[in-house]
Amino acid sequence: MKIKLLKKTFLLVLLLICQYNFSQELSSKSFKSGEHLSYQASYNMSGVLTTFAEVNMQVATVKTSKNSYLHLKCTANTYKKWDDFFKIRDLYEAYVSPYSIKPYLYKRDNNENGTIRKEKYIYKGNSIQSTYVRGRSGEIKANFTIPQNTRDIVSTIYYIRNLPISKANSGDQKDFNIVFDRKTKSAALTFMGTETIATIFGDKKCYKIGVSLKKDKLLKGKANNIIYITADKNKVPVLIKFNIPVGNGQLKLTKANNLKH
Amino acid sequence: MKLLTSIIAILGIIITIAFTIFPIGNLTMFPAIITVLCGVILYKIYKKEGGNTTFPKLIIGLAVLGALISSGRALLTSDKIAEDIKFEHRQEKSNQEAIDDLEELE
Repeated sequence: MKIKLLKKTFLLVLLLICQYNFSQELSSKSFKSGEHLSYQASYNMSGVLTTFAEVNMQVATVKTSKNSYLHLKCTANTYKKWDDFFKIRDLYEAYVSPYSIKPYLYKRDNNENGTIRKEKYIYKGNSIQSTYVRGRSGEIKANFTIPQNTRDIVSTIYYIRNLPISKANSGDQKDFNIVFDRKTKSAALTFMGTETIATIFGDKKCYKIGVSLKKDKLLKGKANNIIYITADKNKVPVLIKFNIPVGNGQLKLTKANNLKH
Repeated sequence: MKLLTSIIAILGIIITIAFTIFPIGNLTMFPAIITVLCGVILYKIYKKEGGNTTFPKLIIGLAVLGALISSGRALLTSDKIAEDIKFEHRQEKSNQEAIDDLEELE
């Protein structure tokens, strides 16, 4: 009886320690409120990279009467020269816990050449209360369940930056779930070692991470979609190479302000 | 040979003009170079036959002009985004609505 009780107590303590370590591991160690990253988006046209948009990623603190959250904002604007042909004004936002990067609210407000697409997800445990508008259709509300630890695209990017990548071995894989377009998609991150690349900080050693979606045509093959993250405390994504069914391109970091370290 | 080169040259000049209109920079060079090459071949053929060389000259001229406009624009215009007050307002409004949603959630 005593042994059983001791075992249970030991397990409980172990669980608490693990939980403490896990939450500590996920606290925002690599970025802080005020951080602003700017990227130049290019699309590969017959082997020539053509620049077409600027992508900005900003972190800010937002306070309500009871809590404070991190506001992770991602905007995409086409360059002036493209605005007359195809104007993009996209906004993606996530409101997350400043400690665990757990998302509470996700918003998407896209305007692509006049085509409007809006989405709002309110996370409620293992379900999402969603509201969406597509084109001229009115507001549609729908609730759906999600597996545990499912995140939207914005909070996933920042979550990746907080993973203990330095401890990973080449070939290590981490599976996770992403919710996008009201569907949960299984994705995998594959650590592909380190590589030194030219960045705005000079030649930098970077972690090379392959991103792939399972059972999905969008992001196939771990070597086709790669994120290069600086192998330092800031873990800044300096280069993102993507290969989607309609072509390939890249996002290159052009400006970085208010980095944590 | 003459017909095939003429077709390639016409297609090349159409693509060159289209690429000159769109801001895709140095990519215009590819169809422009092909068009110029076809233009030169056509010029030699026409000259050999003793025909009118206006068509190949026009093709070469347009291709060179398209390439010059595109590369000039790529050099002179920088990648800048336009100031968009409407988009900024959308962002502010979205943030305010999000705070209200978070308050409700609490």
